[in-house]
Amino acid sequence: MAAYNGSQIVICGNTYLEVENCKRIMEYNDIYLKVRTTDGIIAEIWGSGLRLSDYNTNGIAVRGNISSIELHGKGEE
Amino acid sequence: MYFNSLRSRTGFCIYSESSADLGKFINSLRNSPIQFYGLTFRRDKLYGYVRSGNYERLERLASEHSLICERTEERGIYFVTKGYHLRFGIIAGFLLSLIMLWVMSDRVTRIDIGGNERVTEEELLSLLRDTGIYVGSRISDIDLRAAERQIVGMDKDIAWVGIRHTGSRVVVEIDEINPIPEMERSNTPCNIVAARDCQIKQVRVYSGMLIPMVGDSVRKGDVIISGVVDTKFGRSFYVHAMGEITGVYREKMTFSQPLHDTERIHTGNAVKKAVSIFGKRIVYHREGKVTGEYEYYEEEAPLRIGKITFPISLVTMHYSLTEEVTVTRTAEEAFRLCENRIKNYEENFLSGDVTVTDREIVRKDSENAVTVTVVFTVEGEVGTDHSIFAKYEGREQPEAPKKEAD
Repeated sequence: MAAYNGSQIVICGNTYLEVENCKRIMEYNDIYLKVRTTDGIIAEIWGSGLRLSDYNTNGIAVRGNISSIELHGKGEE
Repeated sequence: MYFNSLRSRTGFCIYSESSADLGKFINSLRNSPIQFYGLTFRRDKLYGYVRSGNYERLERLASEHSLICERTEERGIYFVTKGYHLRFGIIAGFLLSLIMLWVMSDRVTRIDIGGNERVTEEELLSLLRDTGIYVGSRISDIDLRAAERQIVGMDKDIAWVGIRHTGSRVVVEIDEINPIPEMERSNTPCNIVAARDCQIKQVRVYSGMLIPMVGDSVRKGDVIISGVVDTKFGRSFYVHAMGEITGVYREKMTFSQPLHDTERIHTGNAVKKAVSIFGKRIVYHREGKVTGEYEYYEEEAPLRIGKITFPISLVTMHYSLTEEVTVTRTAEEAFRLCENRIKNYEENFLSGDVTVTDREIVRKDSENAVTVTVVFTVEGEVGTDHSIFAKYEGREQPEAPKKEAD
């Protein structure tokens, strides 16, 4: 099976979120997280008590109360 | 679980005093081989956890970004046990428990015996000990099949033995040889004869022909119910005589009590307390000195936790010390002792299906002893089967010593 190099976002309820192939964390605090994925998508995650874990290479896991997620394509930023 | 609670991890707090960019640091951290967990922002400070082995790299990375890194907490089995590394008692206890576990796993701690009725547990335990199976013996040294064969060969009452072990418990199942029941042949021609000299008081004849009448006296061996029955046509045939013969007879007993006698008297007690480990006893307490002769009994209290019995027990050994002394009694005291013996004799030998109707007591005092002669008048069964065609050789039954039929 060929490896998927694009971004992959998994949301489990409103308390857990995984972003695969996350290239860069652009902004982070306990209510807001903004990340850029390897294929250029920017994900903005809003919530409270956001905690970040580096669970594998190029992947991040976010825990906390997630209230909204916004995705922006290339060039929309 | 995201965190393995056994693995050691170190909490950190990273902050900047010179408004350095924490965002850059986070991306550097992500791109480094350092794994982090629970990264969170609180009051412009970055908190999280890394594996304890990565903490120094984290510190270096933080200093590269002009950030201050502080250790906030340490968790995991390493840090928990680190505080106890000088507690030698705990280490010794842990090692001792490991040794005990190793020893106990290959030792017999309990022997359960089942299926025995006539053969006592003590006998079986003794046989098992002879074959090398006892509490404390090594399980790996026991050849169960050989032990089974040996035990069957050693005791003639045992037909089959099955020995198995579950963990450190040895289970012994036995099957005893059933003795061939004594066959009472009810069709063999026989007479009923008098077992002793007596006067017949009551007769019940079920089969056969009554020879003497009620009230007649008979001597030992006289036929009371004959198995040879004559018909009115002059013919005879043989039957198995059956009946109940109640007779009155006299029995004479002599009891003697010397006035000067040596007796064993109780002089004191001694107690020993011991710990028994796999049957080996270590005495830890002594009370009194054990000398001379003694009567002995012991109490054993095994260590039990729930349903598990351990091969460790507390044994209390009681010694009742005795000494042989010469006792001098008056004639009256000796007579009272004789009376007690008469009473015991009646309870033991003249009770049940016989009744003592009268007793004549004759006391005779001599210089050294008091002799009491008792003549009991007894009422009871006097008939006994006597086969007609059997060969009797020297058939007089030996009489009990001191027992005289009057």
